[in-house]
Amino acid sequence: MTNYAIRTENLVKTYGFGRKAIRAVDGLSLNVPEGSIYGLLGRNSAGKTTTIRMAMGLARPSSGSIEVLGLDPWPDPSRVAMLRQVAFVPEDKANIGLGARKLLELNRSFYPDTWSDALARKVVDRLELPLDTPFIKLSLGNKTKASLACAIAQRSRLLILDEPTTGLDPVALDALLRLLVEDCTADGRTIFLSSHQLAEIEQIADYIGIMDRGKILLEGPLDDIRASFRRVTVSGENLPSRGANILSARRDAHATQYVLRDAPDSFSADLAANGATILDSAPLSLNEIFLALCRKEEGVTEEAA
Amino acid sequence: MNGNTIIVIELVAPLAILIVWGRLKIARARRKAADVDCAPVQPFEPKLEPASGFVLSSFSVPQCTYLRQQIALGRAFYYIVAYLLVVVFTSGLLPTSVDRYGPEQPLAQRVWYSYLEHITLGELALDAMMVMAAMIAVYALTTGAQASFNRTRPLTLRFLFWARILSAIATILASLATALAVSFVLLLLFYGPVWLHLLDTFQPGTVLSHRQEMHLIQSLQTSVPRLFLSLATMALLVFSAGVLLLTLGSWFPNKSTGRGMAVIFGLAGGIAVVHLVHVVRGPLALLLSRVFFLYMDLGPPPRYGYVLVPVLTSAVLLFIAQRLIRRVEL
Amino acid sequence: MLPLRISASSGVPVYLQLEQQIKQAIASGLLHPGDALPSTRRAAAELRINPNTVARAFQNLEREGVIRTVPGGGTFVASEAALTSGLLKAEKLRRLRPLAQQFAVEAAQLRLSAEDTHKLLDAALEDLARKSRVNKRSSEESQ
Repeated sequence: MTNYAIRTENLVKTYGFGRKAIRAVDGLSLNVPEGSIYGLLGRNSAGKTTTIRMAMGLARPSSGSIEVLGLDPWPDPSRVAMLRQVAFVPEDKANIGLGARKLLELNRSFYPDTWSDALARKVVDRLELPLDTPFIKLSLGNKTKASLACAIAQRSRLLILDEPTTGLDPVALDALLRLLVEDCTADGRTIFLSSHQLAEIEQIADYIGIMDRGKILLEGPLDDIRASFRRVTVSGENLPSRGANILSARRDAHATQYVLRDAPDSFSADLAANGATILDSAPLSLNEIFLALCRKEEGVTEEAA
Repeated sequence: MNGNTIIVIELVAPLAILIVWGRLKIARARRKAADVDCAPVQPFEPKLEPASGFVLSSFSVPQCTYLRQQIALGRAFYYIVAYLLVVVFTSGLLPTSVDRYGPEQPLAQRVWYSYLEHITLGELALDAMMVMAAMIAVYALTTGAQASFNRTRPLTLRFLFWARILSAIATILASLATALAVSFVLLLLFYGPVWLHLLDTFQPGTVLSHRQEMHLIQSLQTSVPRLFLSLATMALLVFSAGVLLLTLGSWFPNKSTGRGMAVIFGLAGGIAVVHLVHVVRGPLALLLSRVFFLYMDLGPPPRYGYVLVPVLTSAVLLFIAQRLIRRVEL
Repeated sequence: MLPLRISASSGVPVYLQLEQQIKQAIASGLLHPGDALPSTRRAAAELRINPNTVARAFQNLEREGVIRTVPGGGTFVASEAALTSGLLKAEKLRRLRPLAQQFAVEAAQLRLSAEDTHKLLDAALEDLARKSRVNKRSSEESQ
């Protein structure tokens, strides 16, 4: 019986009225198992931040349900019970205008049960966060680091990070990944991060969800997803150009290149049985999977001359 | 020296002093930093929390932290608001104001009248400040990074609202009381207890101009305690109405339009009320000003009992605002 | 530290890369029987990968008898005896057969002749043996 850190069912969020209504989130069913590192991927206006805001009790769902650590994040008593166990790095790293040291001291007193000073020192050290620079002089990267330090030092059961890599240079990014893996996953704690940085997510996530236009396109364990997507190059006669698990088919002069989303081995076997030759079969990186899925959603299919 | 020039100087001088002092502090800090030359940064070792007093210890640690924040904010605003109000309430003591209606009246009468009149005029300045206070109070609960921060800490919205609003009210009342007290002390220092000497030089049979008569009657009728009290209740009422209107405005999908509309609506309503009570002075207006303890002109004061009306109205308005703020999305 | 290089975006599952590289390290002598391996958490932190992934790889390796965990804590490379005689020859053949088939399929797809395929395999075995000799020599020298 898995516990879910975050779970939504047909979640919908509409902004505006009548004809100008926009569905930022459109029937989202998300499942984040506890103890996992879950990466939510999506294009810029896919609805990731709106979903996270609903999870933090900042916005109310128009319909559907959302549960964070088994609690309803909107109405008050459960909202507060939830917030005690959740650390949050928002998309907007404005940090209420305080320098890093003051921000850490402030945040520390809101979470007396779980806060760790030693961990705060470790994060400040590893990320090279300047403690005493006044807020106006902080670069975007340093503001992000300050936000991250406050959230990580909270040692909470669920860590929600919305674009945690804004403004971070490669060294800081690497240090962050190490910190997340080292200090934020023990004792069944969950990390939920939403990001554009596919390479970083691919490294540390064990579950991913790909979101587009307010819906989930694909969700599940990263290893399973990687195993079920393949790029297969086939040559032969009468090759199919559409199919249940064909994400895209591109015809060249001598061969057709398929991007398959499911059971690639049986597909290849079928084609081979019908006389086609499998020229190449290669796995796809997460970036390629993401692009293939999003392009399909837009109805862009490539048919080369 | 023109009275207005003095007021301008009173307002600008502290600002100038603050700017100069700020610059000096920065220059000194820079010199110190250069001297030490890359001194090692102190590691993050926060001091132990100061032991909370009796009152604060009934709250949880996160609640205490938020309260301390609000109290600190209140303290900063207290100095600013108290100072501004002192400037406003003592404008009646300036020689130019005292001599405004000519030197025919005895000094005591002129001073007392001028002092009281400028206090009633000061109500408008006070109400403008209350609108701003309401904006500052509501903003941090409904928009921007500050609100986003507050609403993602483990505190109920009810607590967030009341801690901020009550702290604001305490600041307002404290600065009002301070400003009135200071202006009164200054009156005593410069002119002595003038209200005791209003009729000193009065000789039976003296012919007074109509204006002199009116001024004297009004001065004698005005009850200073109730005047001061009315300032407080009016401030409270305007603040509460402002908070409620702005909360309603924040409900709109586009918050700035919503709040803009709320401010305009509120101002229009406020101006209508003032016009009604001050200018029109019909029987309805008089009734309203009695019942709501609006003591906006010199003359016969409303009864003490009516103090409860604006206080209770304010409380009701704030309760409604608190129920509404729970539904405001960020 | 372990001489591992994991690429998350190569398409090969990370746990598989980890297993293969540990086995390779043992085979080429970089890791000796009885050597201590870092804990799951430390290994994950150093490689910047998910601890569950490391745990899965370690579990698989333990099931195959390549490594063993001590009840008190700590993971070690299996002893020489366990590595070599822990598995019957039949079992070893059974394990390697799918890999051999895969190798054959790939070679056939690329239309490599049988002779070249054998040469490839021999070269790989020789390479491994050479590395093992080098490592053994350098560890003897340092003692």
